[in-house]
Amino acid sequence: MDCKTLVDMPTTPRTTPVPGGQSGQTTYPTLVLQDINYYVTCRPGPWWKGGCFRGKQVKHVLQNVTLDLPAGQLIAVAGSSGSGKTSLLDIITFRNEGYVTGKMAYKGLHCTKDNMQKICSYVIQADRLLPNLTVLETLIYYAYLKLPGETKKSKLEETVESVISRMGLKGVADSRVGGAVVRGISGGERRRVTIAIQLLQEPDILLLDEPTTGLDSFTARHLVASLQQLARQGTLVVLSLHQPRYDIVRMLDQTILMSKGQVVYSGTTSNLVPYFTNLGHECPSYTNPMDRYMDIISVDHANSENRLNSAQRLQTLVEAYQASDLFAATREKVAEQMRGNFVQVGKSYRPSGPSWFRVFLTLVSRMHVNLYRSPMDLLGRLFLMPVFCPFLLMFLGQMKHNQKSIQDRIGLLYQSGHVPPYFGLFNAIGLFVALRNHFYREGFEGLYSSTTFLLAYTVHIAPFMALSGVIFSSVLYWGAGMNPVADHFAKYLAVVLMLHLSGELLTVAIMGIFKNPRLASNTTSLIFAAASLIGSGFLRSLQNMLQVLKYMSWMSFLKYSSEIFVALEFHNLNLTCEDQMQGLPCIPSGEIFIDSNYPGALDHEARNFQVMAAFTVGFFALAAVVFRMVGIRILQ
Amino acid sequence: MAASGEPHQQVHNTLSLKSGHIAVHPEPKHPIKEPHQAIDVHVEKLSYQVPRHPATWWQHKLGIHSLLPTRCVDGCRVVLDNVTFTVRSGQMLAILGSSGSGKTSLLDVMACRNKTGEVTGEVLLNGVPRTSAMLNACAAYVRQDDRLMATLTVRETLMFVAQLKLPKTFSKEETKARVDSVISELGLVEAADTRVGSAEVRGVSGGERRRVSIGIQMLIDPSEFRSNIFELFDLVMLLSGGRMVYFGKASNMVSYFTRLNYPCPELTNPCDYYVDLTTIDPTSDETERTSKDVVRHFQQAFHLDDPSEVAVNSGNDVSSSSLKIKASIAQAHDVEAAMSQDHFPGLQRQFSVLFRRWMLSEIEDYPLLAIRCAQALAMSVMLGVVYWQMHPDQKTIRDHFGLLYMISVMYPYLIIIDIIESCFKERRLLYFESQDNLYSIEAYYFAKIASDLPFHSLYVTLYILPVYLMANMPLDPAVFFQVFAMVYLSVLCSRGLAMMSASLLPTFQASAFFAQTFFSLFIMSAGFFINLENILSEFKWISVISYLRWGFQGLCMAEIRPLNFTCEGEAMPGTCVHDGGTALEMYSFGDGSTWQALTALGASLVVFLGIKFVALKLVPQTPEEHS
Repeated sequence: MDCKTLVDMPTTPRTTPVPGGQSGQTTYPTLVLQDINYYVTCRPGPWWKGGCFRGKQVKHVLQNVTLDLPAGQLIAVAGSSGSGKTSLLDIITFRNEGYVTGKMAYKGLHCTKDNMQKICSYVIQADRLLPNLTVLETLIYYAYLKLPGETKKSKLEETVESVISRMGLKGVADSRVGGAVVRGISGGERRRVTIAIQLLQEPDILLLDEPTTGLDSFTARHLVASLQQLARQGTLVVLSLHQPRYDIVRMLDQTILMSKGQVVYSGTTSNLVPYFTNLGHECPSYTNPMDRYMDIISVDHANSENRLNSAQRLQTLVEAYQASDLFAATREKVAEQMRGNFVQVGKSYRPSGPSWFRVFLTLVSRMHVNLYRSPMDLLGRLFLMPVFCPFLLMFLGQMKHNQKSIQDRIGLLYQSGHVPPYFGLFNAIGLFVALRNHFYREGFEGLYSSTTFLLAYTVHIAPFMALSGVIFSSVLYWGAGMNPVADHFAKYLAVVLMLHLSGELLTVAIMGIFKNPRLASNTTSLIFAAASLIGSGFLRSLQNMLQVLKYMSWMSFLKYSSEIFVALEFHNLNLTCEDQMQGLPCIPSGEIFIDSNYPGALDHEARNFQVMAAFTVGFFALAAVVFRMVGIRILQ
Repeated sequence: MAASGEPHQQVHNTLSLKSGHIAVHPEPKHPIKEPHQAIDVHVEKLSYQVPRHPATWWQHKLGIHSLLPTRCVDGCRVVLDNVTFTVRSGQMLAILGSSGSGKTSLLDVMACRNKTGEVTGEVLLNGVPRTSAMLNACAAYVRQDDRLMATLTVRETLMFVAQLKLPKTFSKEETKARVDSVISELGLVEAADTRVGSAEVRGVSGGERRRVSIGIQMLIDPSEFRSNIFELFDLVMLLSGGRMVYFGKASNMVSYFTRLNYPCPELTNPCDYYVDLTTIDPTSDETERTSKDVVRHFQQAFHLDDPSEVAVNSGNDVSSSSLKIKASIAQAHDVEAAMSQDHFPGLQRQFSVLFRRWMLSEIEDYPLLAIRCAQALAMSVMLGVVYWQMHPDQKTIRDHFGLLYMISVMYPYLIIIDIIESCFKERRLLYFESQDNLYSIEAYYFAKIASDLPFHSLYVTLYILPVYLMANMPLDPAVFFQVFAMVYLSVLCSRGLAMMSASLLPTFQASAFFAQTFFSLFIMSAGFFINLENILSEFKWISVISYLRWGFQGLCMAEIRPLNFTCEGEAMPGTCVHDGGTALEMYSFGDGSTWQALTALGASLVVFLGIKFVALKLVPQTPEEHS
């Protein structure tokens, strides 16, 4: 993730203002790239064929790319897969994962990760939107998150409205976005929403990675037409395209053709055919020139002879381009920009975002709406844990008071401590993953911090967990006939709630480490199991364990909850000996059980509650630290 | 590989499908024994309707939308309308159309693979209505979906198909040579030893993956393929809204539409251009109206043209072709006879090839293998540390039960979701490969179970050994083997339960829920949380059928019965339990024998696996739809 980007030219502070985009005949600003090289390391091959012993391979993804990308025109980077077009966009937005050399400048300033993040918006291939919100809601929430804090509600709505009409989303503004499962707006409209989100801040530079992929021809055509309009209004729009169709090709002002990480052509689209015809590759009349020239510049792997020939042809074309007047002019332009007056980026380059509190409230209410709109998820959050009660009660009924009921009581208390954190885990795996992935995307844009996000999530889930915990505790406690004292029930409920929340927060923390939910779930389950084994005393008597484990058991949150549970249930419990067969031992009261298995449990109650609360807060802190340390992940 | 004989005299019907373009390709086929035979495809007035049944969200969640009625209850949507055309052996037809124009449906119907809906009209192979059996023998269908095993290399993938599908007479070298020729034919030489990969696993490129799919179909249909098949097609059909708007020679398409006053502009691909022109553009009411008019105009213009005349214009003498069709009806019986003959590998070979494929794919997925081993080992070591060197005194009586309970449920629980997930991944493969008649369900079923066993044994051994030694369990071979057998069977039962659920229900979520519900019932009645005697009598029968109870009880009987406990650590005077038998009494495990437990576990396993087999046979194993 840490990209060592070498942009090593010193920035010289100047005060010269840079001509803005909008004013009439002023030339639009240009983004220039000079001699960009990009290397990635990869390690191929299966292990038993020696893959892990072979050294890493360094792949030269981009080779000496020098380009000028003027605003005001629609620019397309075209190439087959592996040509480096996506890498090029990645580098412009500093999302690259490898090693980069070369220079980049825009409006007379050197591009750094920081300033590019402010002026540049990147629309990646996948649309990652919350499926249950409407288009309007999605954009309004984003506006709250993105626009400066002092922005009035009316101004905010105005911005959203203008973006909606610019992207042609008026007709579907109140439709749900939808996703894989939920039916919603069409794929093209979803892509438009993704772009509209990026337009809220009116970025200087808009980059789109294969925006037409997966769209049908009309949708693609209209999308590109909208992009063309945006470009005409002064935004620098660069899109990568895999195989542009004839109608899209006509809308492109500038075309950059890439193959194997090299630029084969960069210039106006209208000049494409003459340029290649001049090099001896004319385009037949009923052929899309882009198809024709993409074929010519791609390397054919069918057999070694074809590969050799096509690779040679590509090399000739690259050399021809580098020797062309076209490239000489570009180079001159880039060099001039690089020589130009560099200004220091002021902190006030863009007004600061909304207040923390506003972001927080926006996040909470967006999570709420998203959950309410999905009845299945809402029901799951509320009733999944209570649904477990019947499983216990159908076998147990009202507990008896015979000797064998000691075993039943231990089993019930074990389940009381085990089920709440486990269903916390279950909810987190089911519902948190989507929100986390959504956060990774927004967090990358720097909309809010991970701690804000986690706090909002905790506040969002709290009421649902409380309700779920109350139902669970009431049914189980009174259904199984546990110690019928109101005070004891209240304490039981408090422990269940803390356990439920702890379980979910710990899972959230683990999900900050593992991208894969299954892995996170298994790890957390293992932690629960270990905590239960060494801490609860239900499965293994605490006194008999190794000394090391006795110390470790103090770190198990289930040690404290179990002690509270035992104290609540066995205190003042009378047991009969009637069922006990001759010669078998009989324990007449709960107190004896407490003394021999959990000595001092009754006295430790206050301490146990304090430690439980500390654990709950601690798990939140752990999650916050983990998310901060791991940082924002780039999802493919 | 050089094309042998004259391509026109050979039979080979490939429906191959690229994004947006579909090619129907009658081509050489059946080199085995019979002389190569030409197959002409004639489609007569083919129409196809499917019922409109919008499934609701809960039907989707429960996965029952695929079980809804297939007849037209609330009205129908016409997918194909009166499609008539002829493709002769040696010709290649490309079907063009935008999404929703009916091109995939046309292929589905021609290949007898439409799941729902009503078909009228006829598809004739040499004048004989096609049957599934005929198609299985003489046609191959390359689909858009990739259903390849991610961890195998390109060569391994093709090798397995070749072993399953090439006639018995092929030697190993010949099989290898055939695979190599397919690899080079499709330009996969460079990628041959790269893993196929998937969305999650890095592998070959998307285009290469598609070519592997085509390679599989080339092997399924063991015949000579013409090289660079993708660049050549003689005939073009343009579909719009399920109706034909053009059928004829590719080179005549531009002039046909120019006659209708729609010339193709310069520097434009005519296929793209006319597909766009015949698609309804829903962007605005205005565009929708005008585009609808254009489409209607084309449909009518084509309808007025006699289809056969278009075909005549398309070059080959179609009038004689129709005669030929009649003439070849006699031949067709031979075709059918030839097709029904069984040249293909038997059950035994299918089993051994599938067995090796599962083994290989499991081993090749080494990170997963390593994780699973580590998981089993980690759990065992964790239990071993917690129950380190138990001394048989009063305080450890509960601990013994706790340990044995943990051993008997922990690993069985952990693998359930894992197995259901991998079953659903394989379901894709199973579904399409059984449609291609690559192997029988029986071969799949037994190969799957057999190939699981070595790994299962490995995991269980890793799971038992450390904890057995660390917890100071008796170093008596008889006790050890009993313990091993109980755990081995319990874990196997869990596998069976998971596999059964995965085959019974249509979605991952539903299967996981189903399996976990049963597991919860079994675990609650296992006799650890609730004393067997105290379980409500109405539900006692559940503990009788619970494999977790029998596993747990079996373990307790094997391990605890021979123990003698010292009276150290009595709770109060006179409460000392002296021997294991008494301890078992306390947990109501007093009566019962090891054999009883083993029998019950074996019976559970047989029931789970038996139901899985029946489910595989009866429940359609439709793969889950993904985003």
